Amino acid sequence: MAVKQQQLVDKDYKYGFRDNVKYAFKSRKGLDHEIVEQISQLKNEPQWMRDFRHRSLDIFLAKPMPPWANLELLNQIKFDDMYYYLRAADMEGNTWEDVPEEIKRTFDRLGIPEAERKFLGGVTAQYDSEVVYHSIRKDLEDLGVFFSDMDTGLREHEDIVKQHFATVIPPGDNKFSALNSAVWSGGSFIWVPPGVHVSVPLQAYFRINAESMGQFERTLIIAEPGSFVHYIEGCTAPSYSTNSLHSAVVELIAKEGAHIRYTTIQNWYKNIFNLVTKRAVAQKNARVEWVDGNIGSKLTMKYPSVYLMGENARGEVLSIAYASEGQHQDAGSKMIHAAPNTTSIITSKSVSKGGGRTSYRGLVKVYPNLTGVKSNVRCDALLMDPESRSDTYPTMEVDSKDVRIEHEATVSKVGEEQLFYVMSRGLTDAEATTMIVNGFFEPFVKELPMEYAVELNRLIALEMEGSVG
Amino acid sequence: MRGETDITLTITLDRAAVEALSKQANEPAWLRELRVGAFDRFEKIAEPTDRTEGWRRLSFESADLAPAAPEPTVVRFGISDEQRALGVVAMPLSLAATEHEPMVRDALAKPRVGHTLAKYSALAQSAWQGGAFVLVPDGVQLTHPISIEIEAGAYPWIVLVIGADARASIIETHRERGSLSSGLVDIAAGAGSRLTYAHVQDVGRSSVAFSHQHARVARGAKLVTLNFGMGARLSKNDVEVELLGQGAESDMLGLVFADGEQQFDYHTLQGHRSPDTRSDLLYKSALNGASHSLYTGIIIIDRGAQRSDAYQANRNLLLSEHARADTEPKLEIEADDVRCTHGATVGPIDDEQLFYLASRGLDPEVGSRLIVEGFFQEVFEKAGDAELVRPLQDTVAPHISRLGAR
Repeated sequence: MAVKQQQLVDKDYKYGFRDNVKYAFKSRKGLDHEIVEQISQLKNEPQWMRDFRHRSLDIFLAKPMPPWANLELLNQIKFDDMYYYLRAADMEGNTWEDVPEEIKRTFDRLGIPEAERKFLGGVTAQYDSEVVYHSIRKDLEDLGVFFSDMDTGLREHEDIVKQHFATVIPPGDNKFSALNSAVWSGGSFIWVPPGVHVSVPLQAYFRINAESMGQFERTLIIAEPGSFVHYIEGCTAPSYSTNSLHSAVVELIAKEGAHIRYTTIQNWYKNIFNLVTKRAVAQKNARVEWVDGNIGSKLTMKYPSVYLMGENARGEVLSIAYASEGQHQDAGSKMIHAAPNTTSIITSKSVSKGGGRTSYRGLVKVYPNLTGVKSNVRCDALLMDPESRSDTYPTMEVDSKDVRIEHEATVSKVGEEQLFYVMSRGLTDAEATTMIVNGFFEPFVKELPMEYAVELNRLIALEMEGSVG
Repeated sequence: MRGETDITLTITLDRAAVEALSKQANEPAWLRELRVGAFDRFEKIAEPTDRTEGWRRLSFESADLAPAAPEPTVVRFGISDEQRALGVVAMPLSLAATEHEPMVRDALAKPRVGHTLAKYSALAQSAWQGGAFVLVPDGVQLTHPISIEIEAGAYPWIVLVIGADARASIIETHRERGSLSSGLVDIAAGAGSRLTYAHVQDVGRSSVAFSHQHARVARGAKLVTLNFGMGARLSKNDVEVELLGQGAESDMLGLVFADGEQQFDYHTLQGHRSPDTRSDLLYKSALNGASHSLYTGIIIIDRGAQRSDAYQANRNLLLSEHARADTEPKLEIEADDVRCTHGATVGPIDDEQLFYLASRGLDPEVGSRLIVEGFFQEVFEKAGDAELVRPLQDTVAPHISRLGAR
């Protein structure tokens, strides 16, 4: 019996290995102005960024936890017992050969080089706090696209960064955006020149490695008028027992007629707190899509939003959440309509299993005196057993008349008839359930690049194992 | 005429005054404790601000939320001699507290805390006088509605007890014109009973009207509630239905016709605490002028409340440029074998519907009126009691016919 248990644990999380990495720099545990100063100094940052970090730290310290959140879990975070900055190697590798062997092995096991070969796009791989590997295909450079880690972006394109940084998500937005603003490190910086269409998805792989390590990426994507870019962020983390915190800030700016698609698959190990602020601004005729998958982590709080600031702007969120034992996926979306003829669509699907909890928390807001605003929100939840839980907390605030705002949600279990039908075709209970859950997630999966789609289907199959007794 | 009451208006509300009220009414000890406990709660709960959950989007800065002086509730019952002969009781609650003590005690034993109205619900529980009590004994089946008209008093407390397998329709109407009123309704629907209950709020346009309604529905019973909102400048309501016994059912209906600067705020609870329970909620608002509707509803399905079936819909019809609607339909589901669906919409009159009616030769004004009528008609029909809803249809009709005439 005990052996079987062990097998289950190993099977449970296929990326749950751990490498012994030598850390070139490791700040002491805890967070105060001294640590913030140290981070900024090590990065040799301009004074305005240093001031920004200090200001943000004050906000973080002053702000209480959000009262509506799952405080039982949130209060488990020990902010003083955590490292806020780590750097695995001093220099960033430009080619695969330069990357330290240990780190490479980790990436090998995650399939990164493969992904690179396949996508031939830029790869920003984040190993703990610093980006260690990064390549940009030559033709991207020829197009004038900037794609680098955020620290490099700040060094090389300070004017662009200074003009846009924290304009979408100010530090005071919430406690965790303040934390990120104080100690951010790494993340991606992308600038797409006017009219440029980036045909391959740009991607970055994030990993957490050190125990009790906070990871605070800061991503800023600026799509100049008429441009297009698709960015993919995927996460896995090794299996550590101490709770670890991941708190990213992602800002997207889609200027007139630009189109940004941002795809995430979050599969942190089940001891990770994943408290992320993601927000986009869509100007006139711009379009922003968030494709957001949440499979892992202990507690995820993430509500990708789009501020529709210009006429005819369009925002879309397509998200899935999967929660099993000990997990709470607290996800959702916000659409802020601040201009006429703006449209938004939110589609959210969640599955709770083995006592897991999924919550949808959303907001659709329409400012006064707007016409032609349309919004459609659709939430579907599947409950796999009597121990699991599903919540839906949508909010709609409508201050204009000529609008069409619709919200629909359903919560149900896997239909007996569906199961019966599939099983009558010769599948077992477990296979039938997996197939139905895969089908439930299908609208999300088909928006992913092939490699991700295949992996996600495999992950779900793995998660569903033993779900039918 | 009201020279006497003018003097009582100057009396401040404190613990001693509350105790005096209890003493004056000769209340049993448990009721006095309930009253005093409620007053302590009232004092302890902070005044709502624009940051208080459930009050955030309301504008009440200019509203006077200071407690009104306690004054006896004046109630007129509409009950026939035949109904009395069947054993139906309709009397002030203060009287019933001694004459039907076990039943009243059972209905009120657990203090109702209230979701967003907690402070004002506690105020009413501490300052009420008179009130109303209706008892329909076990097995008694009534064919005509009983009416309860609230004619005066800031803190009416209405207790309705429907016996096992009994059947009744009750309509409660508020037309009093005080600056602030906070009412309580407690419903106990016994096993296998059927109750259709309409709450009509048509008070003066300058007043603030709070209503906290709490219903317990026993095994196999069915409760239909209809909240009809027309009056007040600020109307805020907590409507809670607890499905406590297996097979309990509830239809929850709401209808708001708002104009001018009126604000209507409904918080509803569909509490599925037992297996095989069913609830179906439909709240509709037609919003004219610069009115504002706020709806927050939650469906809770407890662990173990298997085979629950819950539906919740909030529909808002915006009739003017400056009307506003907020809607927040929430679900908390802890059982898996359930069917739970909700939907919310906000929008103006559908152009296609108008076009269709125009193609039938109706001008847009008439067409709009017909559409609003139809919008309301769905709710009236769902109430399933023509005699009960007729006065409501009559009340709203002149408002609808004025639409588009401005």
